[in-house]
Amino acid sequence: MDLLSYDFMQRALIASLLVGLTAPTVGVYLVQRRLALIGDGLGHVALAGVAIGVLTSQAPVLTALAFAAVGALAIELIRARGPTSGDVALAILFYGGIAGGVVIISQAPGGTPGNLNAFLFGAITTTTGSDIAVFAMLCGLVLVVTLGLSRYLFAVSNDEEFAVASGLPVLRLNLLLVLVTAMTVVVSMRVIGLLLISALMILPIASAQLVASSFRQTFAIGIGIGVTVSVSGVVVSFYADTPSGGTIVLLAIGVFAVVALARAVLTAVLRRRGASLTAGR
Amino acid sequence: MAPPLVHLRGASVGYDQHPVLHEVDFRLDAGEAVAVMGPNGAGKSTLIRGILGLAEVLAGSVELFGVPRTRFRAWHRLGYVPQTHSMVSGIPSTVREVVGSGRLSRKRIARPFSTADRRAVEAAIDTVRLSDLARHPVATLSGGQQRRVLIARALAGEPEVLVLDEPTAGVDAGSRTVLAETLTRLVAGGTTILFVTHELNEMGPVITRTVVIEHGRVSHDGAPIEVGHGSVTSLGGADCEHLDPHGAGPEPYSGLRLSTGVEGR
Repeated sequence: MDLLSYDFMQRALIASLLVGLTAPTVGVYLVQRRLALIGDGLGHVALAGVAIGVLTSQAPVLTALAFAAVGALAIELIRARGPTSGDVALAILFYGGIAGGVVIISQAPGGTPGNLNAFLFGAITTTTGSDIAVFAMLCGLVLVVTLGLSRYLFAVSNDEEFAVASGLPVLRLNLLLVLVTAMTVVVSMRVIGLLLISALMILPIASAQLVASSFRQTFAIGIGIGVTVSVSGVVVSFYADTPSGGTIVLLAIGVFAVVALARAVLTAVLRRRGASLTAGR
Repeated sequence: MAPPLVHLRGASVGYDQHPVLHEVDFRLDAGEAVAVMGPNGAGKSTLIRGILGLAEVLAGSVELFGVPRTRFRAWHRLGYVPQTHSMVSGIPSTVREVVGSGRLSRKRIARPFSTADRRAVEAAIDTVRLSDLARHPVATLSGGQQRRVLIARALAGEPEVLVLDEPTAGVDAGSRTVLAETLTRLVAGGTTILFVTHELNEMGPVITRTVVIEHGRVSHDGAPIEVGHGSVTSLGGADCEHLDPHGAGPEPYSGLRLSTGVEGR
């Protein structure tokens, strides 16, 4: 295959595989907790970290990770204990992060907000070898948490009050969840982009829950869709010369549309068949 | 003598520093089945939320199995059945998955489920007569069946005390009967039960004591309400009258008659 002869494509495909694998495993709990947009907020905060990295000539992946992790812990603590509601805390993250990113990047030599485009929307040519090493490590940590603690994260996401009454370490589990969300945001920053990662956390799960009948099935189908659209999005992006993040997200939306349509048609057919059987009696 | 399973002494309980319950004395002993009744907003749910660590204890003390609530760690000894739980929206989850989450109170974090854990989950599902539906998504069940799922989830931790908030609210008569049968079997098996309810109906024969809360204070703590030949019926009957063991209670609650028993333990 032509595209595999390019080193940057090999790295982009590995990065897309990693993000396609991890994003739905985090998203399934975020959807359950109705915190679907937290990934968006953390993406904005990570942007400020990217700008700091560019300004100080540090690896932007690491500075983005530091910012996203601190932002994640802050938002969860505000949500759990602060006087401010989760929505307001998210809004502060959204706007503070992107404003900080734009202002800080403008201070870098030759820096303009346009320099952030690849980080915001993804670009297949930007993944470096050291990025892959960091992404693989983060991906491993995310999977250890989301798979290893799945019963606990399910319990807390399903009914937080019951989890508290059961004596589960709810705050620590929630902090862990937002931390792995921050890690997933960072893993996404090369091929998907910080502004689009939330879509890959949510859309595969939204599609999966249309056809699944259990949490475990939703989890598995979501991962399958995530990996498929992520890897195929990078391939399409290579041949069609389109931004990888946007391509991946449009594919994920396409999968959702097809699944939703198929389900609606199937439901209608079954209903009609049931009605005709009843009428024939 | 064993300490009470639950003991409130002069406890004021509420939220954000605002008390809903004022200086409440209450104890729950092993083997009891206690109904907490009262009008909307009186503080019934706050009582059980104070016991379970879901509401703040602003004054006085709450002890669980002889241990102050703040130092209590054996939460598996209490099983909680909340009043409402949104099972229709969100990620699909099966009866077995939801009930399984009730077993975690007995587990050390990240330990995989053992055979004993799986057996306890299946036994809890069987207790509420839902074994045939164990693999079904909870959202597809009726309201009464969903309530039984929540009871099974609480039972999966094999608790000594089952605390239920309005277990029959919004449930059809058939499911209420099944719920009452389930609770009767649990009481007979030695489980202590504390539940909040507006009306006893099918639950009447189960209870051994009634606590009435009005305006954040206990206005009655004693025998179940009786009408006729020893049967227990709903509060609010037209021929009932208010009885306040403390003499100067607040406004009557729906016309309450307590015909037998020792009030004000």
